[in-house]
Amino acid sequence: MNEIIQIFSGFGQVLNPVTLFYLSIGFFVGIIFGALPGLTSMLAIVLLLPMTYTMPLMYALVMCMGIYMAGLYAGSITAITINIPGAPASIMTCIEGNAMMKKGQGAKALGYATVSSAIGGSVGALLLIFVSPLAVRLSLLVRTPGKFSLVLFALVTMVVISKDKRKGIITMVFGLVCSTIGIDKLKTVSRFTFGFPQLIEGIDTTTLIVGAFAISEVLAQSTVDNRKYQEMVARANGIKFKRKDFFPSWKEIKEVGFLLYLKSSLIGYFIGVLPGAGASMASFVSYVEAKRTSKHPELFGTGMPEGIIAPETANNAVCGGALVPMLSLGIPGDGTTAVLLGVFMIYGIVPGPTLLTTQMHILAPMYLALLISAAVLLPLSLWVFGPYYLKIVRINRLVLYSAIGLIAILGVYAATSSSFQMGLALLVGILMYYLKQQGYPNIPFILGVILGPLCEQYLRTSLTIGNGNPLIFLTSMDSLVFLVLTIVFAVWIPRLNKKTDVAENGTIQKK
Amino acid sequence: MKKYLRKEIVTPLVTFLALCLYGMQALKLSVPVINGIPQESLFPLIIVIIGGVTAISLFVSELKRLSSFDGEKTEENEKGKRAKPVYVIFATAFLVFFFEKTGFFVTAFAYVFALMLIYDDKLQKIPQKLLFALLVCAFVYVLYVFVFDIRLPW
Repeated sequence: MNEIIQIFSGFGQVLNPVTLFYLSIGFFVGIIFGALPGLTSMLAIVLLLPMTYTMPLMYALVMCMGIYMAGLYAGSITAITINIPGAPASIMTCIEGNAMMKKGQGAKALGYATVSSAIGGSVGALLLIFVSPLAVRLSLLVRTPGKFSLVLFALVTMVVISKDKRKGIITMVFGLVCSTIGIDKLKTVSRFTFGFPQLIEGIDTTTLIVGAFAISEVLAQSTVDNRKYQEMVARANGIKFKRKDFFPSWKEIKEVGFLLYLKSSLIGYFIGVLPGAGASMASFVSYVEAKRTSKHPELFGTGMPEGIIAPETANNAVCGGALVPMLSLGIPGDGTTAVLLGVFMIYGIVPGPTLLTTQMHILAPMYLALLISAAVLLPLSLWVFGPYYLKIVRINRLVLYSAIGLIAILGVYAATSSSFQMGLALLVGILMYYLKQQGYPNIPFILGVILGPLCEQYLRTSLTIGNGNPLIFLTSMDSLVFLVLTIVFAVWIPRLNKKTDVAENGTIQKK
Repeated sequence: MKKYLRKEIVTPLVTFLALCLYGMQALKLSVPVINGIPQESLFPLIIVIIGGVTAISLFVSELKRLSSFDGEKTEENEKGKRAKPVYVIFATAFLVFFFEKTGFFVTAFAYVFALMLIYDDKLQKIPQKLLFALLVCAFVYVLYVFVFDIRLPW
């Protein structure tokens, strides 16, 4: 209870004009990156990462929260209007959203998406505030062998969620290999430097993150068909909304019922807590649940508001959920939280059980920023900027991606002051682009980079405690629980993933 | 024969070879466990085993899949698409190599202008692109140097 009061006392810091300025910047960057197909809120945070070096951590985190929340919401804008999801988590919104658009109710569909995202995001943020102190208390019970099994659990779930698990393992292995380069912290000997003195300190996390996500995307964007992109822009230009059309009537809101909002928020939050599950899965599960419990399931696919409300509520509630394992255990729940973990690491802060007690002055504004950015979605999108959101796709693509390319590569220089690290970022970018072309996922790579050192440290320490006997992982109760969970997830997640794929393929084919 | 040089086949094979090289370096460090105490080579060797087995398994299944697949036509179709990422790589390598030598403005301007040319389908609107490149460089410089107080070479 004491921690919760401390969190709410952070309102003073977050309502400070400078903090609100950073939150607004994050919010609008998130809207732009979320709305543009191909760009994600995660990429926005990646580009921001090197700039956070000279910024107080609190402002950096507040800005990231704005990007995270707004980015997940903004994916629905192009999903509804032109049937192209701005973010992967909005793919389920295409089904009902675009059907409503075709019926001439596009503005109302966007209104439903906005209200749902605001409610889902707020419920997720509130649950984060109330649940994380409890999660921290539980995480204090986990000892070293348990920590290893927990990291293993995160790595395994991230792999099993990949469409091709073996490809997921390969990219994770590349990440783990990169994490072993440089000084071995347990014995202070240098490893795998291959004669390069610049590698003694290892490869900077920023170099790897920027290379894997930003440079590879800059390369991928060069293959985009400009003619098709112009067609998309022309379609978006042809759509005009009036402000009053956004608001669903009270009768329409009552017809849907508040239970759906609550249920989808809870689904999103708890899926967010699971490492690797992410917003796409939350959208799918809540959409299926909404259809199952609807009075008119036969009307799904023809423009049912419930089919927009459920996935949009759930994917924004994921934000709060995904931060729980990251903050309390240092285990990221999805790609964005993995990059956020990188922000913490840049400042030398290792998320874990003691974080909430030692860094409350930084975390409290961050929690509240998540809540505020969810709450302001409603007035900003419905009353102020809503009719202009579609203009985002008019941004000159050549200028945008050239600027992203420059910001990305300069970001590495800003973080490391080294042309060598810039070159490494380019190499990692080429590697990840090449692998992505063949269906290798890039998120396991970054999980390997971030969790690799922890995994090695816990493995070696546990084995040292157990005199080299690996049975210590089975005899330690907390470790056993996580190992059992790993097996359960390894069986359950691929099944759920298969269903999500079927649904997503169905959506794409309909297009 | 050409179809066996496809990237789906080559990637797991090269991964396996790279992991072998990495494993050999790991063995040079120390033996994995001494008197029950794990050494600095243990974790890298576990990575090699997991990655190596996966790469071989992927290689075998890709071989099986491609044995009944006419890949040469597809290779031809992909050639045109491949050129642009290569140009982006060269432009970025140019930036990396000359950045500290010639400073921000020259390399960044050349880089942004080159990217705009690569991203576009035709060589058109050159003055507009030059102007945009200048504006992007000015924006990025202000952002880094004045807003975030990060030093960049001139």
